[in-house]
Order: sequence, then C-alpha cells, then structure tokens
Amino acid sequence: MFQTFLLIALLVFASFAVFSDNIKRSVIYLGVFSLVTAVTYLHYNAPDVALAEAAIGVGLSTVMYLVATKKLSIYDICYVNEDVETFNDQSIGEIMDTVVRPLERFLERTEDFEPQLAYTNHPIEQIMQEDDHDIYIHRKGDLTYLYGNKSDQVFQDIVANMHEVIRDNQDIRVIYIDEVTDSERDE
Amino acid sequence: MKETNKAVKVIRVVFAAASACLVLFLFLNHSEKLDMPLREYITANFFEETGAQNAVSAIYLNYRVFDTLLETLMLLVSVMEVINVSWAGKQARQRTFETKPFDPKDHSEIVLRMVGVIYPFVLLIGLYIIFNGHVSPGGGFQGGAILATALISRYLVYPNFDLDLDRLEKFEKLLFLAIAATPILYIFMQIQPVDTLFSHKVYMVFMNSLIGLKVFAGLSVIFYRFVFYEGR
Amino acid sequence: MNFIFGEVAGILIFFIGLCGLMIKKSIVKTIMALTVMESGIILFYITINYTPDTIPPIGQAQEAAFADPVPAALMITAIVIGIGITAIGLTMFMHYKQEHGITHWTRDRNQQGSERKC
Repeated sequence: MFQTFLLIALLVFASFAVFSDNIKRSVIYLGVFSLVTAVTYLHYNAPDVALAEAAIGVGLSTVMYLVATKKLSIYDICYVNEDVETFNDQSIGEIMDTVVRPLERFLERTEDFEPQLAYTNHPIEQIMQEDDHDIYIHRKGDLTYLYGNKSDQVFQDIVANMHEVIRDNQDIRVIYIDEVTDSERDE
Repeated sequence: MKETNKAVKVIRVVFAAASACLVLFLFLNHSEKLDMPLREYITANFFEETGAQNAVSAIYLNYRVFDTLLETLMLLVSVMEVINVSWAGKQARQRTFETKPFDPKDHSEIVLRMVGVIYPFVLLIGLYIIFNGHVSPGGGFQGGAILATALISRYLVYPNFDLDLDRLEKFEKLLFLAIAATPILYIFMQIQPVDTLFSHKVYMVFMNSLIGLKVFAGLSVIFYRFVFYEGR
Repeated sequence: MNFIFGEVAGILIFFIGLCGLMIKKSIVKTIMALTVMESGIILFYITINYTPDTIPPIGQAQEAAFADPVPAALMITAIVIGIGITAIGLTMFMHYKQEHGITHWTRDRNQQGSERKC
C-alpha cells in the first residue's frame, strides 16, 4: 500500500515538474520529486542510494537550478489600488480570479516569461517615479488604467487581448508612458 | 504557423505515449527473471574478503573499484568543463572580487541565526558519514555532497568569494591522482604491509576520506564558479 | 491491485521525461526533463531485483536474505555523474543567455520580446 502510494506520488510529481509552465514552480516540484524518490529508494532497501539522492538531488541541484533561473526574463507587474487600506491575503484573493490568475496564464502561454506581481496602495505617481516596473495596473473606482511602454511587445499583446486578461467588465484605459512623456516634452 | 506547431506537438506526445506502451508491453510480457549469482557471491563472504560491513562500500571500493576511478574522472572532467565555459568570455579575465564588508542588515535574521546554529552539525554529519562509510549507510560520495551543502549554506549568509578556487582545483587533481594510485597499489598489485582485516578497514576509511574530499572540492568549485559567473 | 510496481513506474517516469524533452521549448525545462529521465532509469535499476522480504545489505548475515547490492553500487556513481551533467547543462545555458540572449530552442514571433532588458 505504502509502495503504491509512493509510486503514484512519483508519477504525479514528475508530471508536475515536467509539464508545468512556470519555471520556478517546476524547480520546487523537482525538489519534491527528488525527496519522494529518496524515500522510495529507502523503501526498496537501498539506503546508500537514498542518502546520495537526498544530499545531491534535494540539496545541491535545487539550489543550482534556483541560481541559474535567477536572472531569467522576468515580467514585472505592479498592481496599484489606492482605495485599499492594507493589502493582505484577503484583498489579493478578491482580485485573484479576475486579474492575477488570467494574467499569469496569459503570460505563461504566450511568452514563457516569468510573471512577478507586486501589490501596493501608494499613489501611482510616487511609484512610477521611484520604481521601475514593466506594466502598471491602476484601479480607481470603476476605471482600470494600464500603463506601459509602446515599444514593449508583451504590453502590446496584453492590450490586444485585454478582455481576456481582465475578466470583470470594467472600463479599461490604456496609457502609453513613452508617448505621454514625449508629448509633454514637445509642449 | 500555429496550427502546424500544435500538430507537431500532438504527434510528439502520441509518439512518446506509443513508445511507452510498446516498452511496457515488451517488459511485462517478454521479460524473464535471471538468476543472481553475483548477489550470492558478494553477499556470502564480503566481510571476510574486504573488511567492510556495508556491502555497497565493499563493491565500489574493492570488487568494482574501476567504477569509482572512472566516476571520479567524470566529475573532474565536468569541473574542468564548467570552468572552461565560464571563462570563455573576453572580459572574464579582468574580473575583480568585490570584497564588501559584511553587513547583517542585508540578510534575513532567521536564516542568519539558523545557519549559524546548523552549520557545525552539518559538518559533523558529513564527516561522520565519510568516516563510517564502511560500517553504515554512506560513504565518500554522500559525505562529500553533504559537506558541499554546508559550504552552500555558508554562501547563503555570507556571499563572498574569498575562497581560493584555483588552489582548490589543484587540490582536487592531486586527490584524483591519490585515488587512482591507492587501489592500484593496494588491490591490483597487492602491496600490503599486512593482510589482515584491520588493514582492509584502514584502506576503506582512507579511500572514503579521499573520495569525500574530492567530491567536496569538485562540487564546491562547480557551485562557486557557477554563482560567480552568474553574478558577473 | 498491485498493477503498478517499481519497474513500471520507472519506465513511465522515463517516458514522461522524454515527452517533456520533446515538447518543451525552454532550455532549463529540457535540462529538468533530462534529470527526470535519469531518475526513472535509476528507479528501474534499483527495483529490478526487489523481493519484499529482504533487508538492506549492511552488517553480518542474519536470518533474512540481503537485498541486491550491485545495482545500488552502480547507481551511486550514476547519481554523482548526473549532478555533473546538470552543472554542465546549466553553465552552458547561462553562457548562451549571456552571450546571445537565447533562452529557448526555437526563435519564433513570441521571442522578439527577449531583446529587451532582462
């Protein structure tokens, strides 16, 4: 019984590690897969191999994958909502189904970029001056503003499939940052 | 364009599934269980012949010592490959080590304190596994990997490159020579001072510590070169 | 009930890895698929001579029989070689990324975005 459970867990984690679209998640699944593999070797009366797998597969190679994928292309998303008092898990969970998961799915499917989201309730002008994100989603009442660069290919894709990315029916305004600054400079 | 990609993907998945079914069919219907004379030969009297109580150590240090030699050679080759690839850039030779002073505010408090507590214990269990490889599960490879893990946890709190990697690599090559020379002298040419169980045990502990140090040196060179190359 | 045992799981894991090796376009995912394939082969070798009432091959001979120590000794070296292969693959991946900006095997329309800052 225990053996069947271990082998099915091995198959499930191998499938997760190989077919998952997000690279960071798949590194963690690979570490879990190695751990279950070590327990399986122990069950099959090979403690030496289990020790080697636990030291090398779980420890060393996970850290090596994490170091190697640290500088992979990350798409940096900043979600701004000034109405929320403090951002906690509940307020992230409210937008999880409408914004966060569709956006992650979209980026994983089209680009193989790693999405990385940040949430804040500071005013948007301050954030745009201080930090450098790739795209800003600014929500103010019923309106949703998307800020991004026009030369950015990914941002163009997001704008083209806007209603797929942001699910709840709201007014969406797109603002290109570089065009705005150029026109201001002209004036 | 996209449809052809999807079709090719489906064809590949179908190919993999079909070959899995074929191999499973062949394995389940046409495989036969062989006798295991090697297992009976080895497990009958490995303690009297080699002095090791762990049959796996007895195999990779005495019966099949060529495995160990060529495996350490493979590790050495992979270390050289990692070093060569990461030195291939033009500007790589003019690198400078950033020696910035240690600031505890840069790191997480929890990781800092816990690694400080855990560090000696990880070193201790690594050395224990190396030195008791012939009587308990373990041996040179596992112990060396655990020692390298200790070095990685040191990197997590103190990311500095003050290790002398060139000297470590030379040390690894010398260790490989020692690993190649010891079994040749002791097992193949039978140059033994006394042929007792005790001398066999001394040989086992000596070889295990050599292999452990070599694996430790190789994995640390790989990891540090890796991190340094990435952070450039 | 016992339709899944060690060798079958090893073969299935090997082909899961092969499938991922063929359909994934990211280089890091390919290296991960190689690791998974190697784990499948090691599992196959460990379990190929397994009989339930054996003990690990450590210590003196007792009433129960020893498990087979030969595949275990072979597979320890295989694991250590596997970490070497992973290290070489990841190093070459980082080299490509740094010199040419390549993170995927194919370079189609979606990859034009990778010229940006990273």
